Amino acid sequence: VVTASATPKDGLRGLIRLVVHRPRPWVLRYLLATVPALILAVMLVSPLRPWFRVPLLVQGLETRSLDHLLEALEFTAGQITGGPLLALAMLLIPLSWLLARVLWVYFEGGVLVTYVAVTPLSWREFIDASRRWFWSLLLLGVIWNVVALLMGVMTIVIGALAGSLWSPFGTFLRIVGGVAIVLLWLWFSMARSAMVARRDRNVLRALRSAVTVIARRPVKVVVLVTVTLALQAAVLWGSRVGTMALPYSWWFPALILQQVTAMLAMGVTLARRAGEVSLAMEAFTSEESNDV
Amino acid sequence: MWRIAVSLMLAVLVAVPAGPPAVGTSRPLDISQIPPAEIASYAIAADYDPNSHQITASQTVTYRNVTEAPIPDLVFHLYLNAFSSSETLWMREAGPQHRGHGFDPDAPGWIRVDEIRLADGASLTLSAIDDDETLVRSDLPVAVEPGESVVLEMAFTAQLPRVFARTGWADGGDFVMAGQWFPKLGVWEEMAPGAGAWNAYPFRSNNEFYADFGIYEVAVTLPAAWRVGATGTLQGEPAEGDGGKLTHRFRADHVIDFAWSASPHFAVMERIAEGVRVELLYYPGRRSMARRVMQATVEGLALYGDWYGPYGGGLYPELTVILVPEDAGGAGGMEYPTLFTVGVLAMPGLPACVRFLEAETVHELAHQWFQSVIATNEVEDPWLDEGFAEYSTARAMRELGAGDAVTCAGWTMTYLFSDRSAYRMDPSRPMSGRAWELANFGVSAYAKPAVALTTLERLVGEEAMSAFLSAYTGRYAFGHPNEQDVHAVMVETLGREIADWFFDELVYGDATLDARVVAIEAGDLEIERAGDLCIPVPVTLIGQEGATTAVWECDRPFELEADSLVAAKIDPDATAVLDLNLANNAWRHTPDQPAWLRTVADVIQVLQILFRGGGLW
Repeated sequence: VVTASATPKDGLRGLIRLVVHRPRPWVLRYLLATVPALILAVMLVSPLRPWFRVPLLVQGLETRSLDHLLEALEFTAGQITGGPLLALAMLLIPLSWLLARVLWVYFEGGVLVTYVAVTPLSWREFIDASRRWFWSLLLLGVIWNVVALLMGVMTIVIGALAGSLWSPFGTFLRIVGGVAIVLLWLWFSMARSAMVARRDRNVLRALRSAVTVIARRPVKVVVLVTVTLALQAAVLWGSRVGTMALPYSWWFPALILQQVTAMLAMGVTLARRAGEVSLAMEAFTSEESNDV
Repeated sequence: MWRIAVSLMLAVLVAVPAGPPAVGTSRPLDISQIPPAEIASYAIAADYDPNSHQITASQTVTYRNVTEAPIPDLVFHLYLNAFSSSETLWMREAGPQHRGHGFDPDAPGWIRVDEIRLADGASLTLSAIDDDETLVRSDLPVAVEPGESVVLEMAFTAQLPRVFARTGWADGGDFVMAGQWFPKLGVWEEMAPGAGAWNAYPFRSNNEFYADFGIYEVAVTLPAAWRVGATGTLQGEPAEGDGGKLTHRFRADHVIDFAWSASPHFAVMERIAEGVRVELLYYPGRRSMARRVMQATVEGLALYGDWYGPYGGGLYPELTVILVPEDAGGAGGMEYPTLFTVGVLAMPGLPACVRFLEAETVHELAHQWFQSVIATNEVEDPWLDEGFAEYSTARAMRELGAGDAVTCAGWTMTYLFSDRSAYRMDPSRPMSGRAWELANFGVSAYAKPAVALTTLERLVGEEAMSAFLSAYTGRYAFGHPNEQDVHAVMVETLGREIADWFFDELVYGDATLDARVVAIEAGDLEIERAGDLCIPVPVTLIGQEGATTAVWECDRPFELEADSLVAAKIDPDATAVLDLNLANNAWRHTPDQPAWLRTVADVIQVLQILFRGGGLW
């Protein structure tokens, strides 16, 4: 039996509390992103360690000067010890990216159920939920990626063609295309939650249900998405400004700041997930009540 | 003029065979006068047909002999004939292409003098000096004696090409940029007491322009809906002409050339800056670019005014800027008196933080000083205008409010970097040389002068450099200085040693410099200087107990002691921008561990964002 554990009435604070009190998805998402990132970063940067004998390179990184950085890189390009390690890391990046994405989709069902369950899930229940929803969520994800890619390409091509005729028209079409992609993303994102809320693994019906949720709770959906995206932007901006303000040699404070903001950004993403699924639950609970 | 290559692709390699003899050779004229002597003046009535892209015109030319030598003949440039086919010398040298824009042989350009006679009606005959008829001469029945003038009446037809090498039509005929479009006199120079010659060369791909100052009164007749921008100032309201056309009258005093541009689609942006009315003409779809161009122009006027004296020596009330449409890039990046064009680097889709358009703008604006007012001979001394303009560009880009050439996401790249990149590819080229003789025009005329003058500025300090530049620009405003004149001013302001070093090693010489740390161990340091260029630079040794610095002279042994050496830096402030490799100027004994760890942390962050899908899915 599933039910909304944080209702929309609880607001953003309730969603964040839910994410914090049921930390498994948060920790899982952080580990899925961080473990491969840590390993690959060390593999990538270790062979370049001799470069850090060249002060111009450090000066370029510190002052963010492309003049210094490019000239230093031109000079140091041949000085790599451990080239195979670097090559392996480059090869592993796309593979790790794919693996992390698939694993995340795998756990997505468990994540969503975590946020609608009355009581916290055990690991076994979490894995069962993950397995139950995996193929449907994977199909939804593949469709989304294909549609988004097509929309993106169409926007670029049509925008360029229209722009060659009249530049403002091209700009207008690019904006329209961008807005359409955002709306599509919102639709597919909500379909994911609607699928779990209705306990229906059919992807097409999930997409239809998502329209129902958005139509019934348009303001709440918009507020949820806008607020969480704004929060994420603020976190990223804070991270960027903070790390840029730190001297380049202060690597440890920079690392802490980066990791804290990364966790915050992931937490906000999960709060949006929790909000979406609770909105879907609310919409369909009222539908079922009306049916009775 | 703007060179096409910017950034790393900057080096323009143009091998130019030896050229036909000049009619004369350069020699400095008198030191400037403000207002200048008006020597070659033109009154032109031009009618443009946008369907045939032809200009039908008549002109009255008044030439005053200000030398002590009688003038027996006249020499005219007919520049457009260089574009009459793919087989001209210009085209054979160039490709035929210019800044990446191809020549359309189906839309060539040419100019024909239909009639030439003296004011008293006596007819004259023109004969070609070169095969392509880009230079013609006519004997005069009576020589023009010193202090006297000759007045000529001419009729000519100019066919504009599809936009190519700064001039022509585009946008299906709705845009026209008329540059080098009328028969124009060369410069008569006194070679010895009582004997002179015309300084004029056939038009070749790297040859630009050289002309006397004069008054231009030009009437341009265009279809009624067209808007026009031109050298000088518009005189009153346009007058109605034949066939519903309008005639726009312009007047420009103390200028060396006249250009105009027109289109029915032009929008106008206006500002007053430093007491100068700036008018910018652009296509409405390029409004955001136009704003950037205007901002750079306004800031550039203030900067150059501070460094080189007022725009136009205080005599030019207006400045016209043409932002060319997208399919007329070949007309962009060119300077004329009181008018310049931009747009050769206006790449659609390039973010505004990449500021090549601003760089192009301040480069062309710098030519309002270096060539339009300090009217050097661009054929014989191309580095004197392009080099000083390029140096000014790099200096101005450092000062612009919105930042240097690239200011994206916290990262910066200076405009000087592009010059240094080009210079480093071919550093042994002298700056001096006639345009067609330079094996690497881009390096000799643009990049090396910019880098060399910047090095000079850092060596002598900004104050001394400003004293040199303001003395040069002040003394030779409305004059025709040459290399010797620049050298003389440099001797006066910076001292003979510096001036001789600059000219011997860099202007005429091929000396280069690469100062470098060869090896560094805990207690041992080996440094060396490759190349013949002597620039004394400081060397800093950083030990565990602190840093010590001493100057490394060129011809003396260098000794400096430091305990437990951590790092060594030659020229830590990068004074010698001419140094071919700044990365090998400094070296640490061991890698910088905190910096390395910080890079690891940054890479972790980037990969985390990648692996979490940006937080969206």
